[in-house]
Amino acid sequence: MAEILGRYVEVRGRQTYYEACGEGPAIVAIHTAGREGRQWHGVMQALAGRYRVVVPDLPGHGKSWPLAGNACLQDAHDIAQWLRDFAAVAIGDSFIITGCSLGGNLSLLLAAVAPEVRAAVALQGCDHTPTFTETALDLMTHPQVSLMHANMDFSMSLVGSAATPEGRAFSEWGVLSIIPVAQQGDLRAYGRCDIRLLMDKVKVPVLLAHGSDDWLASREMVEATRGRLVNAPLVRMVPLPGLGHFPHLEAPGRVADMMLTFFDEAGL
Amino acid sequence: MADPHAHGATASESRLDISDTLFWDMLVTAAAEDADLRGKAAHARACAFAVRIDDAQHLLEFHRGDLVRLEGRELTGIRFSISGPRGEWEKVITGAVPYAQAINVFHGLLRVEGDALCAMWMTPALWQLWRVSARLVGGIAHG
Repeated sequence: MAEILGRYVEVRGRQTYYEACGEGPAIVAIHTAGREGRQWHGVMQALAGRYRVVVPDLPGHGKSWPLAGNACLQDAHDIAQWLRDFAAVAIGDSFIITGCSLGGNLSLLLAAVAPEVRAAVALQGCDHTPTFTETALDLMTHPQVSLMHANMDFSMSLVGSAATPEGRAFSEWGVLSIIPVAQQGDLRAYGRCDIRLLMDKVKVPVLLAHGSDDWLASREMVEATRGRLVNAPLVRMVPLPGLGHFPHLEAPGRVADMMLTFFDEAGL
Repeated sequence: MADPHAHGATASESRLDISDTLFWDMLVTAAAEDADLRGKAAHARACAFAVRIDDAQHLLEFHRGDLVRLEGRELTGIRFSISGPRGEWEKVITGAVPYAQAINVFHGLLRVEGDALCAMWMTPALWQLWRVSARLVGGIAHG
């Protein structure tokens, strides 16, 4: 099994934790809202023979220090720029971007605005996700709300029927160990994310993958996004039957195989 | 527990009448027998809420793990309501769609109004209530 190594780098003056695995062209992988990079361990190890997969914990997530004032990023464009700053320090070269949910949206955004991005793999990624009200977002950090309890059924309803027991268990752990201000910031970025007008700026290969059991990032939303990728040289959309909102965690082997097929087709 | 089929409560055959007070009586009875629901509502104190299906309204209350119907009782205030069309309610009650999807601002047609904090406190109990309802009507519960 390939070794996963963790280390810190300084990004914008804050200590940022990331893990890396494998050798080869770089892939930066982004975790889902409110979670952290361990979600990608299975995919990292499956790709390690051909790629170096680098997975940061966003500020205030996992082992990364929060921003000044114990804050987290709350805007998709701000997170995308932070990821570019991180990659400049941790990789210093061009890279493939991937991510899931908010990370999927960010992958598409980075493919549109960052020339150092060679290709994007967006899991459950969409360019418009107005799926959370401001009231719901505000309540996430209310002093009388236990988000780990209030959020559990919601999160687990997004996990697919074919998820591995390990993936399901770690998804549940993700809720039990939630950091409310991190979850709130990410979902604020997700709920307000509207990058539809940028999709024609994407000029690199794109893989859109959709777990069929996910009701939050629906197939219709992903297909609409695909329709706006009019200038990308290669766009593939892969359905993932039985998987839900967290395919990389639910079935890492399937996701890694899908990625390798796409990378071969795209000459990456 | 009452036999749901005695009242035609089979959604797949379109005989489920969730507007009928008999259905809500049966649901309250089933809820009383569900240990998970009682546990998830144990913290509730006189948490009254309204289920509004089209123009019909059913008043319920969680209190120390119990779920009761409030029709005919003196009301001290409804904390929140969940409103929407019958078709969307049937999906929730039969387990065809998760509760979160039905109340989602983008994906669902149900709306939660009133004391949002109280509604959030009751979220685990409400999820469990719809699992109980799905079992009651023979649907397939999500989650």
